[in-house]
Amino acid sequence: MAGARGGGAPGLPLIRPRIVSPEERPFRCGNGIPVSPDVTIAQARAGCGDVPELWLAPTDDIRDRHSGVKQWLRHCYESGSSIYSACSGSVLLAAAGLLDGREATSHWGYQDLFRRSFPKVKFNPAPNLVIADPTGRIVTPGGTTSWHDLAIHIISRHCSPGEALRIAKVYLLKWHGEGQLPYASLVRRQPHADSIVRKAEGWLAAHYREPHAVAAVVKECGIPERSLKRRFKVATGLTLIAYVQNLRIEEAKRMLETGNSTADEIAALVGYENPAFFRRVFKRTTGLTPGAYRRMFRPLSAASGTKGKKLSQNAD
Amino acid sequence: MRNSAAVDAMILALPETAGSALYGMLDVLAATGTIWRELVGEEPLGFH
Repeated sequence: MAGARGGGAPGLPLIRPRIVSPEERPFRCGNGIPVSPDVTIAQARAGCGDVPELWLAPTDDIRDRHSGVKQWLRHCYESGSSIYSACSGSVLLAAAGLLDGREATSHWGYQDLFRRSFPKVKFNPAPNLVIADPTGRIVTPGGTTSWHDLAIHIISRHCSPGEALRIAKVYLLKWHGEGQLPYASLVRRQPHADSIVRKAEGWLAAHYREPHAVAAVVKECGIPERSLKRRFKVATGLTLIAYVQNLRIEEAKRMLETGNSTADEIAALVGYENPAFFRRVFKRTTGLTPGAYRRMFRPLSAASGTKGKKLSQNAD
Repeated sequence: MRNSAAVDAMILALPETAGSALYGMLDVLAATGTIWRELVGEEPLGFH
C-alpha cells in the first residue's frame, strides 16, 4: 500500500486493490477457491500490500516456503511501502524477518507457534491490532475477522477517517476493541513427548477443581516438585499454577455461556474459595468481567434455541 | 471511471490464502469512494 492519501473526487474509487501473486497463472487458494492474479510480485515491486489470512496448522513451519514472496515483502518495506498482514498472514511477515524485535499479533491460536519458531518477535495475543513499527508501516491484526479492523485502519490512514466510518457502516464492519482475549481458548494441547508431564496434564484435567491441585499433582507424579515444575514449563510453556487456573477459567467461561449460576457460585464450582480472587483472574485472562463475558457470549450459545428469551446478566 | 490519484493496494494471494479474507478485503477496499454515495445518495445542501 503506497503511503499517499487517495483524495479522489466524490464517486471515484479511492483505493485500487489488486491481487498479487508469485506467478501470473490462475490457481486455487484455500477451500479450492479460484484466484486470477492481476499482477505478479515481479511486476508489483514498487507497490506493496496486505498479506491476508493463511490456512496454516499451528504446527506448520513456513520458514522454508515462499522465499521469493518474503524477499518481495522485505523489498516493499525497505522501499518505504506499508505492509499489512491479517490473522496468520503475520506468520509470513515473521518468516520474512520483518517482525524481529517488534511487538506483533496474529490469531491467538498461533501464540505457541510464535514462541517456538519466532522467538525474536514480541508476540502479544491480546490486542485486535498492533502497529509493529514506529512509522506505522507494519501493522498486524489479530484473528480471522480482524481483517475488518485492518480494513478500517487502512481506509482511515490512506483515505480519511470519515471514509473509514462510511465503509464500516455500509459493510457492518466491527472494530474489535475488546481485543482477542475474550475469544482465546486457554486450554490448548501442546505437542511434546514428556510422559510425566502428559500424566500431570491428564490428572489435572480431572482434578483441577480441588483446592490444592498443584500440591496433589506433584504427589501423584512421584517426582520432586522442582523437577515437575521445570519439566512442565518446558513442555507446555506454562507454569503448573497457570495451567490449573486456565482449566478453571475455561470451565467458568463454559458455565457463563450456557448456565444461570452467579459468578460467586461459578467461582466455588471451579475451585476458587475466594470469589474476588476468581474475578481478578478471570478479568486478567479474558479481558472481561464474568458479567461482561456472559453478555458477550450467551447470545451466541442461545441463538440456536432460545430466541427472544431474556438472558440472565447477573454475573457481575 | 478511473481515479488516477487512487492508492494502489496489493493483496497477496498464495495457495494457502483464505479466500474469505482475500476477497473480503478486495471488495471493501474497492468500494471506497463510491459505495456510500450509491447507497445513500448526496447529503442535502448545508447538512453538516
